[in-house]
Amino acid sequence: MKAPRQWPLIIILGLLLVLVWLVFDSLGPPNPLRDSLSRIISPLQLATKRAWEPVSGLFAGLRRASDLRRENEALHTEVAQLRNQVILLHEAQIENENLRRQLGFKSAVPNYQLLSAEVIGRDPGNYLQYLTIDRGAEDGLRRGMPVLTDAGLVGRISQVSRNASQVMLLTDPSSSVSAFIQRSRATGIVQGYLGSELIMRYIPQAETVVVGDVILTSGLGGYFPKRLVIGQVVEVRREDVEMFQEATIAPAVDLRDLESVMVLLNFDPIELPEE
Amino acid sequence: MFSEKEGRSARGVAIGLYLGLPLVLLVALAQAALVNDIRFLGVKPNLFLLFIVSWVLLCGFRQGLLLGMIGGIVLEVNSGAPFGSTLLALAVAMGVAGLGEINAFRGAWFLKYLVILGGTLVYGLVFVALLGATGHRAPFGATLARIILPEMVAHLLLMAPVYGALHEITRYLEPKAVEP
Repeated sequence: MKAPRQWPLIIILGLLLVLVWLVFDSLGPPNPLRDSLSRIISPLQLATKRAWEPVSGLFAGLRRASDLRRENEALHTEVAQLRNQVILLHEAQIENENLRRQLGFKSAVPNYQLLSAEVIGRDPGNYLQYLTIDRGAEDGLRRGMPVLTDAGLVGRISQVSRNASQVMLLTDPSSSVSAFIQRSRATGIVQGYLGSELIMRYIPQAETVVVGDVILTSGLGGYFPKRLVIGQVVEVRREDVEMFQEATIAPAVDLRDLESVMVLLNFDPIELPEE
Repeated sequence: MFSEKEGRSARGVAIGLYLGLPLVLLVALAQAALVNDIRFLGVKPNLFLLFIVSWVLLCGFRQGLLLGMIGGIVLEVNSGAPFGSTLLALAVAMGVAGLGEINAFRGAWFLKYLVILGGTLVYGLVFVALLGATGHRAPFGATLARIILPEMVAHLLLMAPVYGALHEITRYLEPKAVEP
């Protein structure tokens, strides 16, 4: 192959160009040569890069497909585990709040020996209002023991087996509790009545009962200790021809949503008749 | 009166029982543990009664009675009523459902509704009578108005989905044994 005659000229021009470039560079920025070239090349570079990106991503994706699949599976597993942890933490938080409330209540009433219990079942029908709790004779439970929460009275133990017990709620039609109105000290009997409400009967006519009055246990009869909160008056029924007046009571405890309760261990109720 | 449906093979009965046993236990446990959160017209629907009455209509009285008694024991454990009250009330309600096999409306579309109305009423009346007889306070009028009648309406509305679901299950397992 024959070498072109212009080679020495091209080499000299090239060297001159390098020299000029170096001189411009040494004079400090901006180098007009570099600047001009850059203006032409930069948009081309950018366009090329952008055009290549999807293709490059595709190749990279193809190369990493198996890695991505594994990573995706691992992430799915991790998300499921984290979701479970969040649920468990939320449950633990609720349990923690319940226990803190119970602990606060126990501190507030140091004379009471209280045993916490979980609600594990409910009467399946509408006719009776009973709960099943996870504590029984092995834990020292006996028939008649009062059951309460930090908000107030729940009911009493009606049946005890080795590891579980049944609690007759205040709202059961067979439940009767001696009570008094905190403001006026008027006494009466609080009975359950087919549903979520309570009726306070046998309140003397001469007494004034107003909506919002707080009802407490009176301790009469020996079934419950004195001054446990039962609820608040929501309605009063008074007939002039009757000997007594009646009041509808909203229980202090939401008996439908109970998850845990406390059993008062150091109270000896009067022996209940066998059901 | 309470004979098995015609054409029922021994194998069919066995399949029905094997399927029915876990189902009935599941429904009884759900009734005791979960249904408390469900209120329909102010009352807890008795899904177990709906299930067992539907089973009697679909698979016959004897099978229904057997499953009803097994599931009834689960309910008894959680009930505050004297032991046996739920079982006895259930047995009477299933007797009412069993009458559906011989009455003049057999095969009629509305039979299941008649049966659940009658079954719920009889179940409630027997249960309240037993409660009263064993010393529980059970005001009859108030119970009828506030519990039994709302339960009847609730069960009337729930009967179609419960019966429909059970019909599909039993038809899948035992196509010839179930009425169309």
